Amino acid sequence: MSPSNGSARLFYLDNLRALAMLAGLFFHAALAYSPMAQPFWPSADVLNHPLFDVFAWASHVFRMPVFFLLAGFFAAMLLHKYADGAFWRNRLRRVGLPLLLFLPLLTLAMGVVIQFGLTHIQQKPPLLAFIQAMLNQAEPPAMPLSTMHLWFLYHLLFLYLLTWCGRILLNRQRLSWFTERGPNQLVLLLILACVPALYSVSVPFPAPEWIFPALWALWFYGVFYSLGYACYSIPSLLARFEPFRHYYLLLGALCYAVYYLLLPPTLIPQSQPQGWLKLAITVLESCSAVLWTLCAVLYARRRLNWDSRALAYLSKVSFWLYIVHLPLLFFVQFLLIDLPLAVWAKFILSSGATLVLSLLGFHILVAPTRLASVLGGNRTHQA
Amino acid sequence: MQHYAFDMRNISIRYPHFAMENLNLSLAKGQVLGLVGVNGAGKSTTIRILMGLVKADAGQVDVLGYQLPAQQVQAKYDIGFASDDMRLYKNQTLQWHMDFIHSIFPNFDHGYAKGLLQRFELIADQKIKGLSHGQRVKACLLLVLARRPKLLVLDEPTTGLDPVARDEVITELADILRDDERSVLFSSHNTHDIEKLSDQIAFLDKGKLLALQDKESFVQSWARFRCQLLPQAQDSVPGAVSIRRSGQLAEVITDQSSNDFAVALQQAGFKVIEQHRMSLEEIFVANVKRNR
Amino acid sequence: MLTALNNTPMIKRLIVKDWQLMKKSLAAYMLGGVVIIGMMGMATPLMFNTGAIMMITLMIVIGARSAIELVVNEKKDQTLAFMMSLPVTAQDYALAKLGANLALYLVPWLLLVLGMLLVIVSTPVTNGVIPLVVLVSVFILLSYCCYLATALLSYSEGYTITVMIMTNLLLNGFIFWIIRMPAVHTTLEAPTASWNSTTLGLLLAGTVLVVGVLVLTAYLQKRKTSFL
Repeated sequence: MSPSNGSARLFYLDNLRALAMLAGLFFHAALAYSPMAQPFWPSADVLNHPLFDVFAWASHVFRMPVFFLLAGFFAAMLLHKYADGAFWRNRLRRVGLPLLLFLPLLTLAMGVVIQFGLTHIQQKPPLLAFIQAMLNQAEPPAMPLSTMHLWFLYHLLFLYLLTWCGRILLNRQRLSWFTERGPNQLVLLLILACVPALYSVSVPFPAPEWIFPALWALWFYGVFYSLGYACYSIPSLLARFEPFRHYYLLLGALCYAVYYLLLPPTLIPQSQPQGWLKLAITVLESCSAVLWTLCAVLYARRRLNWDSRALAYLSKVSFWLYIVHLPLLFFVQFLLIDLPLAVWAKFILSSGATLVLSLLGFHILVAPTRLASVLGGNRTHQA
Repeated sequence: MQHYAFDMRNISIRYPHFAMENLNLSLAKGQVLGLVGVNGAGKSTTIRILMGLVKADAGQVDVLGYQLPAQQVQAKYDIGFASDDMRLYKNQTLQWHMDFIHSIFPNFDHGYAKGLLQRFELIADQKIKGLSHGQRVKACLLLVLARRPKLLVLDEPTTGLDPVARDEVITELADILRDDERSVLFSSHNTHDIEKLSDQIAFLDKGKLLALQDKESFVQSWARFRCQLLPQAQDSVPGAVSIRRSGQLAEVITDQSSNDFAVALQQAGFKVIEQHRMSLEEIFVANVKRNR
Repeated sequence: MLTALNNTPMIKRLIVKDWQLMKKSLAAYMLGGVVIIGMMGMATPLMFNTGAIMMITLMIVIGARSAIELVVNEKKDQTLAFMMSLPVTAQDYALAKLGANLALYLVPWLLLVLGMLLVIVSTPVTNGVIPLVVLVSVFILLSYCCYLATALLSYSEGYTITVMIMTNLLLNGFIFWIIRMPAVHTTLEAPTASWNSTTLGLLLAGTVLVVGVLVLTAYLQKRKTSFL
C-alpha cells in the first residue's frame, strides 16, 4: 500500500474542490426558492419553483461527500509526507483555527442578519415568523448552540482524530481484503455502508449543525473520507472504477429520479416517510450519493486535470467563500424578498451579489493579511 | 584528576534482616572489579547505593566525580547499569528501546549497536516478549554498551541463564571489555564468571567486605596443602586459615602461600605431601567460612 | 522538588514514553469517547443517560488501567529498574508518572464535564443541576487522584484495587448524600445554576483535596530513601 511517486500536480482535485464550493453557494441560494425547503430555510422567498428542488437536492446528495472524499485523500497525502505531530499542527492551523476564529464571528453576523430580517421584511419566511413568535414569548428560549455550515470543519477534526485511532488500531493486512474486491463490489459495499447512517436521519439528510458531533455524519461522511484516503494510498484504485463511470452516472441519475419522486412535498417532520418507504428512499439516496461522488472524481480526473487560471483563482478563494457566503447570502436574499422580481432573477442576483461581496471581502480582508496563509488554497502536488 | 571510577566510604545501611556497616569500596579507572557474594550478601544493595537508587544511612558515595544520590542525574549519564531483575517493555521492539535510549543519550552509537545486534544474534524489530531470557539479557547489555558509558555496573547479569547462553554472554563481555577502557563493576555469585572478566575481586558476605585484591594476588596467596601429621604436630600453624584433620592426614588452607609457609608447616609437625592452587570459588568459600 | 524541575526534558521524555506505551489503549479510548459524545449529543433522554453512564465507565476504565499499567505494572514487570538506570531521580520519575497519568485522565474528564454542561445548557434540562454535576465530577477526579497516589506510593496492585473499589462505592454514597442535601435538592429544578455557600464550600473542599492529595504524593515520594 504505497502511494505513487512523482510530483505531478493534481490539478483536478483543486479544480473539483473549487467547483464543489461554487456549487455550495448555488445550492444554498437555491434553497430560498425551493418549495420543499420553505418551512425551514431562513431566507425562503414567497416565490419558488420545483426546478430549484430538482437541482438543489441533486447537488446535495454528492457535494459534501465529494468534499469529504477530497479531505480523506489530502489527509492520507499529508500523513505520507509528515509525521503525526506535523500533520496535527498543519490540520489545526488550516481547519481548527478557522473554526475557532470564525464560528463566533459568524454566529454574531448571523444574529445581526436575522435581526435585520425580522425588522425589515414584510413577507416573512415561515422560519423567521417562528423565530419572531419565540422571541415574543415572556421567557424566550435560548437558541441552540450551532456550528452552522462550519460543521464540515468541526466533523473533519473528529475524522482526523479517528484516522489517528484507525492507523493505530486497524490491521493493514485485514484491510487488504477490501482492496482486493472488484470495483463494482466496492461500490456495493460503499452503498450498503451508507444506508444505516442515512436511515437514522431525515430525508434528504440534514446538516449536522449541533455543537455535538453527529454519529451518523461521522459514519456517512467517514465512508467517503475513507474512500478518499484509500484513493491516495492505492493509486490504482480510481482507475479501476474508470471504465464504469458512464454507467455510474446514469444509474445514479436513475436512482436520484426515483428518490426525488418519493420525497415528501415539504420537508416538515410530520411528512417524513416511515418504514419500508423510508428504507427505499434511503437506499436510493445512498446509491446516488456513492455513484455521483465517484463520478465527480472520475470525470474531474479526465476533464479537469489542467491548470486553469480561473479555476486556480477560484481554488484560492474557495475556503474564504465557504466561510462567509451564508450570512451574506441571507442578507442579500432578505433584501430581495419584498422586491417584485422573477424567481430566476432573484436567484441569479442573490448568488451573483454574494459571490461579488465575498470576493471583495477576500481582497480587502484576507489577501493583504496573515489570514491568507491560513485560508489561501495551496495547489496540490502528488507526494 | 579523579583516579577513581567510584569511591564508597564508610557506607552503613540497616534493614530489618540485613545490615551493612562501614563498607569501603573503590574502583580505579579502567579496572574491572568483580563483586562476589552469596545471595543476600549485600551485592545488590551495594550497587543500588552506588546508583543512587537507595540512600545509605551513613557514608559517602562518589561516582565519576559526582556525589550520590544528590548528583545522580549527571552521574547516570555516564553510568551504564544492567541487572538480572531488569526487564524491558515487553510489547515494544528492541528498535523502540534503542530509539528511546538514543533520545536520552545523544552519543548512543548506532554503528556499535548494529555490530552488537549481529554479535548477540538479535533482531531489532522483534518484540521483547518474543525473546528468550538469554536474548533479553543480551538486549539489555546492548542498550547499555551502545551508550559507551564511562562506568559499567552489571548486577548479576548471568543469573538464570542456561550454561550455553551464560558462556555466550561472558565470552562476548570479555571481548567487549578488552576492547574498551571503561571501568566495570560486575557482581555475581558465580565465581567462574568473575574469574573470566575481572582484574580485581571483592568478596562480600553479610554486608561486610571480606577481601579486595587483584585476581593474581588471590590465586597466588591462597593454597591448599595435604599433609601427613607427625607425632609432634601442633594444633595451629601461623598463617593457616583452616586446618581439617582426618586420621593421620590434614588439609591446611592458607592465604599466605610461600616457601616460608611450607617451612612453618614442617616446623609445626605437618609433613607436606601435596600443594594445590585453589580455584576462586574455593578461596571465596574459605574466606566466608573464616569470617563467619 | 527543585532538582526534579531542573530535569524537565527527561520528565517530558518519560511522559511521552508512557503515552507511547499506551498508544493503542489511548486510540481505543478516543474512539470510545467520540462515540459516547456522539451518543450524548443525540440528546434523547435514553441516549444521553446511556452516554453519561458509558462515559463514567470509560473514565473509570481509563483511570484504573493507566494507574495499573503505567505505575503498578512497571514494578511488577520489572521495567522500573530499567527506567531508574536512566538519568532521573525518584522524584523525576514520580512527577513524570503523575504528569502522564493526570494528562491521560484529565482530557476525558474535562470532555465529560464540558460535554454534560453543554448538553444541560443547550437542552431543556434545567440548569439547576449544574452544581450537582460539577460536584460529582470533582468527586470522581478526587477518587482517581486517591488511587493514583496509592499506586505511586505503594506500587501494590492489591492496595490500588482496594482504594479503587472503596472510592467507587463511596461515589454512590456521595451522590445519595449530596442529592438529599437541602442546599442542592431545592435548586435542582431551578432555571439557572444556583451556587450557595454549601455547594461552593463542597467544591472548594473537593478542589483543595485534589491538590492536597497530589502535593502529598509528591512530598512522600521525595522522602522515600529506597526506590526499587
